[in-house]
Amino acid sequence: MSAVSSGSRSERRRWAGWLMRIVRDPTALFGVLVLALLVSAALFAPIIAPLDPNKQDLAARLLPPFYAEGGSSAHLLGTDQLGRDVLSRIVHGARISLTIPLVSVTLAGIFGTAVGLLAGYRGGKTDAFIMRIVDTLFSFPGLLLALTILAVVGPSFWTLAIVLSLRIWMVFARMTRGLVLSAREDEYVEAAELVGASPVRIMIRHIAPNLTAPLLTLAVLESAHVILSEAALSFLGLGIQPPETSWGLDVAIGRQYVFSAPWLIIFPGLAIAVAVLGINLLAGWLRVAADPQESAKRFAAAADAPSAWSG
Amino acid sequence: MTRHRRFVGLLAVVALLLAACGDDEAATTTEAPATTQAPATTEAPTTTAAPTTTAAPEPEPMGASIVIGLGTEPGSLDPQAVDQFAMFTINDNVFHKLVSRNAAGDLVPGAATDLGTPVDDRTWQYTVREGITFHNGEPLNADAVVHSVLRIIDPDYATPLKDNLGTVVGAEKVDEHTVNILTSGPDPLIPTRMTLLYLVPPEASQSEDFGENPVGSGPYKFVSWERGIAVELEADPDYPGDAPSVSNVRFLFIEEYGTRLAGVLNDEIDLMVDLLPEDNARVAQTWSTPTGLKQFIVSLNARAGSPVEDVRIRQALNYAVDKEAIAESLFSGIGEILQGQMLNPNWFGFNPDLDPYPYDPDRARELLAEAGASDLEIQLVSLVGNSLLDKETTEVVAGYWAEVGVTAEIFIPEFSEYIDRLIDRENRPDAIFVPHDNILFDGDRTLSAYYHSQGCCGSMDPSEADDWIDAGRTEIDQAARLKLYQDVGQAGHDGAWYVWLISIPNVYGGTDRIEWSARADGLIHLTDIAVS
Repeated sequence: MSAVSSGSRSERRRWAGWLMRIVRDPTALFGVLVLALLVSAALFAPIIAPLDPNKQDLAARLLPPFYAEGGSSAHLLGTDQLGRDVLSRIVHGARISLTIPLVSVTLAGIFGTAVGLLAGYRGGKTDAFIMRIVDTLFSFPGLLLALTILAVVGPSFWTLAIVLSLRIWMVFARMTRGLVLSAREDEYVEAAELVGASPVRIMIRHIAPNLTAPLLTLAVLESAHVILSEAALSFLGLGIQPPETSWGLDVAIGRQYVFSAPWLIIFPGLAIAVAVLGINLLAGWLRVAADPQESAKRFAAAADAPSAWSG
Repeated sequence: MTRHRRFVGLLAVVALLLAACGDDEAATTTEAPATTQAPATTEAPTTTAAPTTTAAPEPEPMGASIVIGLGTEPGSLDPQAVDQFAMFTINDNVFHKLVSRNAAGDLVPGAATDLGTPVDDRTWQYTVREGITFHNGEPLNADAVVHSVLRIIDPDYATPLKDNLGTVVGAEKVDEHTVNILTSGPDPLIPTRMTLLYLVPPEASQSEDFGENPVGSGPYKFVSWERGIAVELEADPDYPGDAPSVSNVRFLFIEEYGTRLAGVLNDEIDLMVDLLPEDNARVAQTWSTPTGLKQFIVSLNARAGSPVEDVRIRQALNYAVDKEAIAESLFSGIGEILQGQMLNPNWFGFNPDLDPYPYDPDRARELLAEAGASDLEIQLVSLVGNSLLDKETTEVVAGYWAEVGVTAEIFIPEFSEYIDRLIDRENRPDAIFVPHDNILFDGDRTLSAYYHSQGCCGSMDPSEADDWIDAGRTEIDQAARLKLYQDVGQAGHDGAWYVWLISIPNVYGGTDRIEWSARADGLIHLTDIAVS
């Protein structure tokens, strides 16, 4: 991947090509824009958020959003049961709700890929041993495992991130192993073996780069799962703890007021839904774009379409 | 607005569906007892055709069924085992006490003929009314009273309710219906204490599963208990007097507030506890007890070595909190500010000379700076779902503290662990939020538990207040006893042992199917409910 940083013209053209392909695909563009919006909200939360997300104001509690009767532009999305600004909480909540997937998926991705590489390349007993462990862990109900660990260890940002990565690393291991098994048969790997390259070098220099695109797609897809899991765990009270905020936590807090103040669960719930949708759209596009065969099919379909009309 | 309306519309559809199902269920449950009852009440079924013809037009001989939604499930239904309000709420309909309270909260005779007579300094005499029997046929007589007293004070039985009996050391039978309650010294509170002694049958209460199958002598008898779901009671047909309007009741345990409220909105629940003020307008009827029953306070660890051992810090934590805003905004005006003490104005021992610490964040900052605690960090233990807005109140307090520079890390453990932390005498929490109720309505209970350094939940070093509380226990002269309690209140106020927040009444919501009024003690007497 280090080659990417070089500013050669062909590299730049390649990036421009990707950008053009995103812009031409409206669903992918939508996904990217939504994610960009949420990520920038997370990055610049203190600047964007109108108020401190933990600033209480009992006199202004349970104010409705701006469009409803009694709402005002002072609190665009209303206030919660302690008079805290809902919009500010969602903007700040984006930080945790988006950092957790980033951390968990990175941890799970690195570990799962390494394990998968080892299993796929070594084969034989190593493979059988590792993959049976993976199968065993797959058969555990993930959320239950996470709940148990969190109940014992106690919830915090890092336990949550690690517990959630424990739930998904097997997916990366399995996928990597499959890809490695097929890559092993390719001539370039054989060639590298013939010139005497060490197994580690072959795995890292020759096989791993070919896994980048499918694993990246998987990582994006898994982030969506992690967002939902974090929301679920926080909703159950074993995830993020106040005074930190996350969307799942806000939904949990708001559910008591579902009749009197529905905006307390509608907006954080919407944030979760939009984030997951954006990620899924991006992942779907990435899957197609990163696969030369799929891309070719698309291209052919696009090229055929006008001729069909004219014919 | 349209989004909300659509959402509400969706809820309404769900509500209608649920209501339709609910009606079916109610219909089948009310029918069931009527049909089983029919052969028993109508005379001997000489012909097989007779019961079927008489059963059909019979206009509900048994009265109505209702459903009551409670927030917590008691750990046991043994009326002498657990100190939980849900247990009292259910069992006050099943068991007798020697002395009861009327709806206004005044003492009235229960199973006894009067409030009791002090015979000497260590003896109170009661006469049990004749003709009361337990639902299993055992008579409620002097033996049953003696058994009940000895059972609850037995150290091996180790019940938290023992503390309510205070000075009681024993009981002895005088004759079949006369009994003496023996105390360790003069105790003016015995009639009040007797309101917390449920009378249990000597035989049945020795059974291992008495807590699951309680047998009482009251107007209602226990039917079944589905753990985690509901307790069912039915009116005892043999109970003297007119049959009550409610013949069957299910106490549903629904921890989730929204679910409980939805139950009332869908007519599945006739009466629910702990209605949020915001939802007053949504339910058909609301009730509230005439005075506050729950006192919200934050206990501060005043013992040497604690991070808040300096009295200036504890005073600062009091000055920092705007109790007025909590009462008026968070509780929509149903809360009343505590007067710088844990006692409610209508409890014995209230000190009218004390004032709440006013809201003065600047003074709080000054005091913290003087005490060298400008960046104080403490842990604040609390609980959720036990009382109205308990967690929210804790967060509000932490928010006010944060404004004067005190960082409170809120820790909300499981309920059982919360109780362990509250009564852990060795490791007192820095601060712990407590919703305190006092069903004795006398300072004795509150002060012995919270103002005595050896009480279950006191977090202060021993002081002369301990002696005053001990002296008050056996002080027969009410004026002297009042003075002692008021002095204790003053000492607590000066030492800022607590952050005294507000006192809130019990609030109920219900459908228009029932006619009822809330009692002063917050209990729900099924005999008071009329169903239309």
